[in-house]
Amino acid sequence: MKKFKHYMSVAALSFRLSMQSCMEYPAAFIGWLISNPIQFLVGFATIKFVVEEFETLADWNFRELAFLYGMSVLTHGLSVIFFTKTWYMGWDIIHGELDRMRLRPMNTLFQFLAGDLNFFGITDLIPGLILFIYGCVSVDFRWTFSNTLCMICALIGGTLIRGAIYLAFGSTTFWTKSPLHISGFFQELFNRTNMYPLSMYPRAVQFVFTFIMPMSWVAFYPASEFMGKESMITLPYGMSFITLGLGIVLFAIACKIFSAGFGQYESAGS
Amino acid sequence: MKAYIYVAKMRIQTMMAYRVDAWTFMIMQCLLMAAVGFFWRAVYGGAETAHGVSGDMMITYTVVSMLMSSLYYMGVEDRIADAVKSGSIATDMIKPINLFSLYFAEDIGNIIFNLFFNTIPMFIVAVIIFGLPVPASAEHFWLFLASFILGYGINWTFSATFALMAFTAIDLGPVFSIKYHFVNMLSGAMIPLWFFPEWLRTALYCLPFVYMFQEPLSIYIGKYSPAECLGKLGIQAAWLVGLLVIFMFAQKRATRRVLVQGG
Amino acid sequence: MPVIEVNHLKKQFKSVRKQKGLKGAVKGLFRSEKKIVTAVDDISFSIERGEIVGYIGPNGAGKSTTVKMMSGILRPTSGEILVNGISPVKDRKAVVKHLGVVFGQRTQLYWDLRLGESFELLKRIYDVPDEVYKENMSMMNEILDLKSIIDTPVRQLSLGQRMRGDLAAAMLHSPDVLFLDEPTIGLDVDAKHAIRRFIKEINETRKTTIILTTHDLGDIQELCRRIIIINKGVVIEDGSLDELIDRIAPYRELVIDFYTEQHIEHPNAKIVSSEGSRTVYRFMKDEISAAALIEYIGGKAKIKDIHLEEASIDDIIRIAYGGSSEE
Repeated sequence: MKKFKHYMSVAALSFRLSMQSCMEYPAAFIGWLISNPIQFLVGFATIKFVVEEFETLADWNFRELAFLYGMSVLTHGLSVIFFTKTWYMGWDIIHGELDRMRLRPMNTLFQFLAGDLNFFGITDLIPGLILFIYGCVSVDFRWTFSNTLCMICALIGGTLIRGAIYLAFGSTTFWTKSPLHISGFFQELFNRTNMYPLSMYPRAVQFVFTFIMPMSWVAFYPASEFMGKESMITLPYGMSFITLGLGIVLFAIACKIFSAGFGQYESAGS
Repeated sequence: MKAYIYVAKMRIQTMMAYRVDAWTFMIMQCLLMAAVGFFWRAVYGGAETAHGVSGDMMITYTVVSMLMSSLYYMGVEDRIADAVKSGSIATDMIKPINLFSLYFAEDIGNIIFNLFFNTIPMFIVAVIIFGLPVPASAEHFWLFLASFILGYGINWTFSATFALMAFTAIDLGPVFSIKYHFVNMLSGAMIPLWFFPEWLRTALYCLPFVYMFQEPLSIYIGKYSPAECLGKLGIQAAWLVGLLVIFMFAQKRATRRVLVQGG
Repeated sequence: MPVIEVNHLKKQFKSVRKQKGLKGAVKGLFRSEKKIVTAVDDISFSIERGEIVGYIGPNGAGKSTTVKMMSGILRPTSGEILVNGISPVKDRKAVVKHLGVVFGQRTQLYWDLRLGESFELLKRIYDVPDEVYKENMSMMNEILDLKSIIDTPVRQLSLGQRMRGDLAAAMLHSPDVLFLDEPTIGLDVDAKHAIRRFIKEINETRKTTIILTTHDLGDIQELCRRIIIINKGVVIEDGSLDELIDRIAPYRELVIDFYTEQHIEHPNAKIVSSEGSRTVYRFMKDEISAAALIEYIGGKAKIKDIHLEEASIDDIIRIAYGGSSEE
């Protein structure tokens, strides 16, 4: 308990300080505050023109797509706040930036994640919220107790799945000694498998992103349950809980990989 | 000239040094291409044509667009921004070769690298998934090639001019990001402009972006007759000349600024 | 019981060899060659409480690697380290709790935060009680004069200011062992002086054990009673500075200016050089005293001026690194 309190007090202070240090760069913050929403909103607006022309995309109309994409971008925004550090961890590992964490009497993974929250992620969270609210309103999402619970589970699960993938692949640098600039690749993958309904892809592709890589669980499966859509897997209830469970399990595995990698960390040469 | 060939060669070598990057980037591009291709296939569904373009033509459009963007390498942007930020621009400008020719040579090196490690693999993947992206006719193919080269010139000159903004005090990360997404959305690279509302389309035809992707691609899939294509090439050439003039002007200003203030 | 014990420490790194040329780059896309580099080969020593030990050696000798292993950043390939009787490999957190580490080349402070905020965060991380924190802060304030820089973001501090901040940060949790890896690197004379004064003071008042790696011989001369010299991953000298000087360079040089050119010899002194009216004699301290030599020579010819030169610490270390003396 005392340990928990100790960790929480460090996390709280870290968060406050990260907020402060972002404010040290107001120009950059405002820049991203403009550019990130534009990126997501303009991208989505152009889809609108096409989908409305043809009416549906694999049986999803534009409003339903907005709901799906809203959930996806919201988990993206959350993952930017909590896991941006993992995108550049290859660089940090190569340049010995993790030395500091081994000098402190706390868990290294905790220091790695909580010690450097990215307040700039707000600029990604804003378009996420806009799209999410727009989606919820346009499909008339009902905030019943059950729906709300499912939604919270799905959002947490989706964020954790994203984080787990970034962390696990970022940790490979501990072994390979060369940074893997792969975060953009995964972001793209998460984006493409949750921006359009997975059911528009050939069955082999659907299979891969359902059972081999967990991408579609981030938003597509929970959203299709909410929308009552047929997909490769159709359950009467509980997709969101699978997303949450998957998120927790994958994140736990990613943490193990990180710890194993840090165990044989070699700092920066001499 | 020898110096520039050497620079291009070095550039290919450095790119190769990042081998994992090279592989993942290639896979990423292939995935993106497949995703957009399947998007069109799904969205067309049973529909025959839309705006006079069939589903197959649209997939060809998408595939060729992705192949083009793998060759539209604009390293010049980051190079200038980095050089200004680190202050090395002043020493770079003293070197006895033209800085921008140097960056151009580097980009050509990148293009050659990309041709082998991106474009060709992507092409193979595209053929496997969607079949051969055939041009409307042999004539259209050659016209496309000319239009592609002009499109590259427009894109490069625009990027280089844009990068000279680095001399202002703003943080360029987000500005470049906005530019990237605008070019991506408004050039027809992802979605052809004929799907856009009339007013937006008219507005976009007044900007150079459509001449980077939309027009070369329209030529490729045969949206225009060969005679119309020549007209399009003319407009492209005009844009290129216009942008070059602006670029020269911006370059002169930047050079003067470096010489006077040291960056 | 020694505070630090190091037994047969060894550390090897794997490094990837890049192939040359365009052909090599193509090959590198498919596979890469690995090579093993031994940074620390076989190092053993033990350090008692309250010592200040200079840990020196040429670039690439394995100094920083040793420090990183002792502080738990790196895991040794083989061998054993005990800090306060605990192995950093087995219980890293227990070891670092009582450890302060400063790297001159890389700050441990948080780049975007004000110095004071960094301290505040460290206080939480080490869970330092308020009274202890206050007491430490006021002491650091006094020695390192932090008041003027406490509200400055770390990235805006000068190198000397930053180093003061780093030292204070390392002392916040009152560690009983302090590792300083090149703390004076790149600093000006004033800053160096401040840092040396700080090291001396905390060693005296708190009996903090200090291991100092440095290339600055002034640091060693002023601070270290004991030095350990390593080269190519092994210890080549370990002992007190005076003892080392006596052993490696037990001679002195007497420089005498005569009024005219002279050739006076003495059985216990060797003439090293003789140019014009200046003659340089080298003699062993235990064979003849300087006074006796001067008296003998003064009896033979008129002396205009004299001075005595000790072998410089610079020479001694150079000789030790090279493994052979010039004798």
